[in-house]
Amino acid sequence: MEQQGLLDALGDQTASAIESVLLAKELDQARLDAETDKLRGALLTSISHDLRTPLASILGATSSLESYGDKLDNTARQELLATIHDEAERLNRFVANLLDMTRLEAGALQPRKERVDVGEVIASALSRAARLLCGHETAMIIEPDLPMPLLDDVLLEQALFNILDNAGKYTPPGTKIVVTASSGADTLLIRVTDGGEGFSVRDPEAAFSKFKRFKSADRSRPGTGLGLAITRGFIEAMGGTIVARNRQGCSGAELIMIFPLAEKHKK
Amino acid sequence: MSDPSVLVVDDEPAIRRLLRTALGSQTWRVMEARTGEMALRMVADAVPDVVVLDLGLPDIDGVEVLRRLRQVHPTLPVVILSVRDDERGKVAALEAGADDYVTKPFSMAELEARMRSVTTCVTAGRDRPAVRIGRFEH
Repeated sequence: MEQQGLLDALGDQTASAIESVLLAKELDQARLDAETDKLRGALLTSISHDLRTPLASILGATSSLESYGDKLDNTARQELLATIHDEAERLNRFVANLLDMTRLEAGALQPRKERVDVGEVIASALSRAARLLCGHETAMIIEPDLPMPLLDDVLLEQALFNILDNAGKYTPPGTKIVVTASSGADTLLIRVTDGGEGFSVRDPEAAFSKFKRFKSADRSRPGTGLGLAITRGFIEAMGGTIVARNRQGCSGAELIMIFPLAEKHKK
Repeated sequence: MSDPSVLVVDDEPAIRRLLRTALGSQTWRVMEARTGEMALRMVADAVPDVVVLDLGLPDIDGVEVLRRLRQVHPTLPVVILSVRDDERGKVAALEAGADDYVTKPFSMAELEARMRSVTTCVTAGRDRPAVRIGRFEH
């Protein structure tokens, strides 16, 4: 009889423990669902804002051309056309970023590695970013006889473009942006430095978080908040790493891409 | 009579550039502010004929900027120009004292017509002779 009572008590306690575990699990799931919903909401708000803002400029400019027609002088007309062009390019970059992020997250990115002339890729990225950096001073320093590593030139150029785009957005006009390529004993380094204020956050690595710009409620910089997250994804897909930090000894930010060199290129 | 002036408050450089070009070509004198603080300072220095105000500003929310403007300038015409298109947001802005509300994307002719409309209303109100009965005025 006594043993039966003990067994019942043990059974009750076990049932109660199982119930607690199940409840805790449900609670965790509910928290996760709420967080996912919150994140989805934030993502939708961000995307909606980032799509509508360039669209507003494009439609505003086209409606100005339609409504004011002959009343516009040539300078105003050119300015409105330039707005349409720039904002359409911005939309295009936004859509490309979303597609790149989707490819990265789905693991569908397959780098096509071949010997790459890094100097040429840097020059090409700087040329593509020239319109965005027209108020900045840019320079490139390429080490003579730089090895040609096995990389995907398209991904490398896009990664560099995103970094340059970011540097342009977060530094005032007139700031110098320098891209340097050099090689170490068994690595190739591409460094992008700027003379701006540097990363204001305590942890510059946070710059690689998705929608970082959105999370910090920074609405003063146009962009998707995806650029650097994509850059890191591309660099890592090619076997490299990227670090962000503030420059030492002077103000400004520094992003360093490090790629391993194949055996025969090692110094 | 001098050209009417508008203060454009928007953190998006492309929107400011667009309004500067389009409104500037239509006899408006366009002034620009990219933050709420900057807008409040500029209005304190020189009151424009109308303010075109974005709501999603980086420092102070546009509705709060509007409230602060209203404390000092109860009749200054303000047109909200925002991507926020939900009813609650519009009601909040109108209750805070906005004279009109235009959502982005927008038609420039419509925005300008609304700017002219709110400016005219206020000017007409200002010009209307006051009716005085004793110490009461209407």
